[in-house]
Amino acid sequence: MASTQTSPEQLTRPPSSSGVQTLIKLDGVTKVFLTDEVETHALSGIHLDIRTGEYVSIAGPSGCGKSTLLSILGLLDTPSDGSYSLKGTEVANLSFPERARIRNREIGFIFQSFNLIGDLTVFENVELPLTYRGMAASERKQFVGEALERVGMGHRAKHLPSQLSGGQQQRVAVARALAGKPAILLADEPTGNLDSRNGEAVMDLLKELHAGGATICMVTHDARFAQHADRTIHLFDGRVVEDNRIAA
Amino acid sequence: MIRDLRYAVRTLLKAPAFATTAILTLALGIGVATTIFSAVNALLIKPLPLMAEQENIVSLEHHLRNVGEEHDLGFDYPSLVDARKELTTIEGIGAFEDTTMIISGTEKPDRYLGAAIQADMFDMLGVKPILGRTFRLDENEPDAPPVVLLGYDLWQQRYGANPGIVGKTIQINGLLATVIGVMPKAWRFPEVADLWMPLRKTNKETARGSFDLEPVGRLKRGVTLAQANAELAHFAALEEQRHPDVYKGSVFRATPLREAYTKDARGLTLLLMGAVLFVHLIACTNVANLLLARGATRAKEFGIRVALGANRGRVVRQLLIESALLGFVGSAGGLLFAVWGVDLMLSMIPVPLPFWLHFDLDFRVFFFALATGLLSSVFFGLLPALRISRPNLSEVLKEGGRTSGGGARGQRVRDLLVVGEVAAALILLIGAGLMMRSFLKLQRAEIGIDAKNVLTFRVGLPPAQYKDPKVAAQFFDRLIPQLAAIPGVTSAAAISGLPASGTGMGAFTLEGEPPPKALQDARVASMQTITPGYLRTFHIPLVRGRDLTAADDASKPLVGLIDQRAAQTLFPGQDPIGRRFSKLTPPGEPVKMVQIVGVVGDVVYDRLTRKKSRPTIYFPESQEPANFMSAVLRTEGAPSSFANLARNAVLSVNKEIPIYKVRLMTEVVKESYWDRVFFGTLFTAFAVLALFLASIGLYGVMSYSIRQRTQEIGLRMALGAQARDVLSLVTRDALRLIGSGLVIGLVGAFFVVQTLRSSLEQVSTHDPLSFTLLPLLLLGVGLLACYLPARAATQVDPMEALRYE
Ligand SMILES: Nc1ncnc2c1ncn2[C@@H]1O[C@H](COP(=O)(O)OP(=O)(O)OP(=O)(O)O)[C@@H](O)[C@H]1O
Ligand SMILES: [Mg+2]
Repeated sequence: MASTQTSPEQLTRPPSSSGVQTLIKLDGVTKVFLTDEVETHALSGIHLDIRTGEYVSIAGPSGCGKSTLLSILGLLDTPSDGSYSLKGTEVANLSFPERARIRNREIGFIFQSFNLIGDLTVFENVELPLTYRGMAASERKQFVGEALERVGMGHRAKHLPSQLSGGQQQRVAVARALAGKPAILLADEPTGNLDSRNGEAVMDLLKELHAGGATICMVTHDARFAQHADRTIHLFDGRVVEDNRIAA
Repeated sequence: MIRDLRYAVRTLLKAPAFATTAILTLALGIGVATTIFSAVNALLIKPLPLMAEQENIVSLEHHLRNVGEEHDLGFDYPSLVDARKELTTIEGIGAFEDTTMIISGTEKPDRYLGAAIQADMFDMLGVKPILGRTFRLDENEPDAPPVVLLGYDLWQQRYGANPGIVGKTIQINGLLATVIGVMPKAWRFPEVADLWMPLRKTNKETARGSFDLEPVGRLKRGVTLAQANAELAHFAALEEQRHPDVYKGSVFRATPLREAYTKDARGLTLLLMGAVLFVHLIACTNVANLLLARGATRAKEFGIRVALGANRGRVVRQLLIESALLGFVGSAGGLLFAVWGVDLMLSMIPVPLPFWLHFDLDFRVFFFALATGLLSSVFFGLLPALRISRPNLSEVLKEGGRTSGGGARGQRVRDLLVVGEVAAALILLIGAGLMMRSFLKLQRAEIGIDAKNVLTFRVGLPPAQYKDPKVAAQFFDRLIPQLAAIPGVTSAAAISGLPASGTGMGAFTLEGEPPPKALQDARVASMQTITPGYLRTFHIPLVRGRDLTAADDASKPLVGLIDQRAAQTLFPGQDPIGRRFSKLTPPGEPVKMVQIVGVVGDVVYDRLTRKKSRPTIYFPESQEPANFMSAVLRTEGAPSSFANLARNAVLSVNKEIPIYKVRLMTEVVKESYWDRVFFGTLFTAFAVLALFLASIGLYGVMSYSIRQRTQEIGLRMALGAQARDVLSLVTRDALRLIGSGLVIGLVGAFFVVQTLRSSLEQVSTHDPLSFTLLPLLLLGVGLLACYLPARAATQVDPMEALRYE
């Protein structure tokens, strides 16, 4: 396996002139949680940039800060310190509505436990992020249809999540993340609640999406799945300790 | 069982916030229900005091077939005598009359309300005196020596409970009457009488057709009400045959005494009971919702128990014991609320209550509170208990793949309960709204007088003592100028019956008309005797002709005033001035023609709740004297401060004559519809309570559902929902609940309020204002109740919500 190891300093280099754009750039991002007067340093001085079209996998022991990092990338949370620019715009300290707007347009989430809404049909679940954009119904229909087709769930649009298997539910969740054509897909252990066969199917789906040009950032424990990515980042105790890029 | 109870106590103690909320809610519901039940008990359940075998006591009523049974005319004395003689199914038929009795002689004169009764009436009712004896039949005779029975309170207060009072004489209405006995405590038959004398009818009063008696009798042993009524129908036919001019179309009927007593209040009281049961139901629903919500948090505990093989019956029993404990403590709290509630309710009644009506918290009320608490504990406890005891184990297993909304079924039950609450609250609100509008209309009703700054009091010369009407006329001739001379009194007069108090009806014929064939065809009018200055005192306009003056005395031709309504109905398109009419006189008496000299503005003399469009005729007091009159004084400044000056003026004319019923005219008007205010206020209070409880229910269900949906809401926010998106999501839910409740409530109210029809004046049961504003009010309050949970929803932290473990 051909891999290169880079130091964190190297990660901060400016976007290359080869036309590949830097999508995400974290600079000295730190996250401190304060609970019962105990400070937890979940992330300490993270430098990271992700380019458009990259498939990044994040690994590390439990509690090392993977989910925290993903939340910050997904603008679900704000860093305690450091800067975060997304598509060249500083987003670390935006207001709540602003962050919601960017989440909605630029980021697609895939959760370990699918997080579909039980009362809504598959179609409506996928449509959800689009409705928050004020998109016209006909256009929504087209977007949702496309997304469901891409994950191979077009024929299940009218089903309720409870009528689907776990693997199918996760594919719907992927469709939901895709539907809005976000700049990046963020997935936190997307196979954690699936058996290996279903897990692999979802990983294959992600790989396919990547091949189609999607930018993906995924947290996974599973070494096998980590190999699907073309870049693997190891976290330990809130720091990036390894960043392996599989040579293209 | 004991162990279960102990465990239940412990469980509730461990959740003090839940327990307190549930108990307070229940206590509130049970409290209002018990308060009103005490009224239902007093009116309809509790035996009437002191009367023996009271289920056989009947009241005899008389109405005209074409007028309707709601207008009980009463018996005339001759038909009563006939009935007493001829009826075989009813015995001891006797009549009574409320009579003012002035006791004088020793200290200052005092006016009491007494009753003149048939001599054997108390024996028939089965009430025994505590001292002495009751009347003998011969004491009914007009020439028998006067005797009196004292009431307990009078005996206690005026005679110091002197056991030697029997045999003594006291001066009543100028007669020396011998005390023959003292009646037991709490006996004030027919309503609030303090002493009794035998009924003695003079010839003039015993004319056929002067219906004013409400006889009471007792069904003979073994006779049913139906048999008695059959005989009364036969009796009516006989009377009609004998005196067709008087009894044509007459219907005589026996009604159980309690039914006769409670006729007026029964319907509204039962409606009130219905209303408070609604309130209590809403309270129970809130508790059920609390329990369901709590059940959801305890589901795991019971799920594990059941999974481990716990017997389902035991689980249900345990949960029901917890509910019963809540119900029991709620009952105790409810009784405490009721003690206070009954006091509050009584303080709203401005008139003296009849002796048989006692709103005490007796064992029935106590039992009611307890039973309500325990019964409702099944109502609010069973559903949650059944749900908790049957956890869906497969759902618990599925929990791993967290797709939110799994509790949809439980949520639906809670939603349904809240929809029911909103509907119930709306029905109550609309009912109360209609009643409020009705009594506001009464309050604003134009009765044709300027009631402000007028003091009124009743004063009169007992007819037994002052038999010559001229003496009465002279008394008032002297009194009115004395009253008018009081500094600060701008005008004074007297009238036989005050406006808005429903007295003084009479029949008449116009000159040239044949006398009516039967009484039921006669023209009737409100007939009032007034002193000159009456119009001026009440600011009643003189529309045509002239006012009555002191010159219209007994030596002059008879004159009278009519109101505009009379002018329009009797003389349409003609000038009434100079036209003549005569009062209907008993056969044999001479007809006296009265000439109309003036037309005045319309004044309502009926009680405002019994208003009929009847003409009014006024006579001058010197030509048509009345023994009892109400004085009216228009004053500068607070009228109530003139009461003592007025009393002194009366005493200076005759030191034996007390004044009573001293009131502001504005109070008199208000009292004429106090029952509407009373029922309207209670309904409104309960409706507001229902509104309050329903909003708490909404609040509870919404905040619970939002807590359940935290994760979903967090997810939506992660997907880019803005605060307003979340707000509209939650609001949509709230609107769905409130909206369904409102629709059901509107339909329900549409039908339920029909039962109010007879208690509404000038308000349609489909009053558009009530049917639009009140749902809007409920909608507003409901949305407000949802606002806090909705705001909490917008503050969900998506990170927090989506973190899984
Ligand atoms: N809201 C929070 N408040 C306090 N501490 C937190 C919070 N969120 C995360 N942490 C702490 O931050 C550290 C990193 O947590 P994080 O969830 O990012 O770990 P992780 O790498 O995703 O672990 P896992 O593989 O178990 O999911 C942990 O020590 C955790 O306890
Ligand atoms: Mg994690």
